[in-house]
Amino acid sequence: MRDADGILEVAGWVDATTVGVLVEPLACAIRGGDDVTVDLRDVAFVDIVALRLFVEAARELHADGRRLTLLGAPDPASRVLEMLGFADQEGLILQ
Amino acid sequence: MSTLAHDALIYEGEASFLEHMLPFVHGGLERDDAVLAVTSPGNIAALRSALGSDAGQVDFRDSTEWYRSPGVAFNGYAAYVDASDRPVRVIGEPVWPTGAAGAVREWAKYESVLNVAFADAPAWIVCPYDATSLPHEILDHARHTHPTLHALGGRVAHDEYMTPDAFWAGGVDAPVAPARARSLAVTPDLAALRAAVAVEAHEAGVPAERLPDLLFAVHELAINALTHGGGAARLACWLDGQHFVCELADDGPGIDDRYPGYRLPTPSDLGGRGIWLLRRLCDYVEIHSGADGTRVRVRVGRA
Repeated sequence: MRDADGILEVAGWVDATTVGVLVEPLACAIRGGDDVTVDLRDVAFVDIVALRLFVEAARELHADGRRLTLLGAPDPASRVLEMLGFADQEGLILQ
Repeated sequence: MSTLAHDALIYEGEASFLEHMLPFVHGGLERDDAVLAVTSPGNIAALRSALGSDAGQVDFRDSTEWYRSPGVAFNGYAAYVDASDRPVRVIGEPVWPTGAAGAVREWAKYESVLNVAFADAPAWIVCPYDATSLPHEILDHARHTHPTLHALGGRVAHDEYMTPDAFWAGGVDAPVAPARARSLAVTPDLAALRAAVAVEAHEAGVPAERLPDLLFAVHELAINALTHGGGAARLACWLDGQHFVCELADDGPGIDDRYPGYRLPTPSDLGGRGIWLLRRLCDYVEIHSGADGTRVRVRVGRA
């Protein structure tokens, strides 16, 4: 994982067994004051625990007038978010 | 009508379908109800033609798309009822699966659970069953899962109806995984488990586009079994006719929900809705809890 200018690049998979590694860098990026991007283009799998972390981060950023962008989230992440009613989550952008 | 009416219509061919459903649709339009007709392309064409200019006021949906899975259909109706500012009248005719007994039973359980899930909905749902083509078992389910039968001139209560509690509790236990099933170890190395399931699913002919949903579902089951399963968890995969089946068995007490996965998650609640999600990602979700632990089966169709 690399962290530069509010961009977190992640590789491998983000699930209940690995998500802990992302918590501190994400919190750090949120403290940074800019919009935050998590680059998931090299991630093969995300689970519900990871999605929950991203939704909570987006809420926190939105409360501060900022945004979280998920870049290239693997299937079915965007559909699962939609099914659960987070398609229009303010502060969360899926690209 | 302020609460749910849920009738079965046992009919015999197209003329009989029209004889019963035309008055039902006309009655709804006269009351300015929203009218939704989910049925076969043949019945849609017949109904359109018979309705003439009134057909434009009816929402027609192809049952193959609408009834893709019990979870998808459940959610479709929930969204439709939710979005309507008028009472709704629904013709709901599923595409009944052939071959897999577990799949038929899951559709019947879905029909049964509508009676509680939509109990307070201002909806009149008629589920037509074509007696000329459906097996007796499915016609029996129709009577077990619908409190009233639709008849010319009125709705008739009958004594074969079973409450959802009784219907869900009945039925035979699912047979155990067949000897040919491939066993996979469930350990905290979930990436390895997903990779192994991907190989099995691919070899079984599961289309590549269904794979992410299947792996998401199996992963959720494995996490749940490791967290709450009371020790050893086993995953078995096999082919059952047109379905690829994954069964997660553990020694846990099961799922503390009378009708798992048949309530809508609220947007604030991203956790705790695993089974609901599984019902939308997979074609079928079968759950068996008992003294010997809990088994959850998910099925996806093959190419």
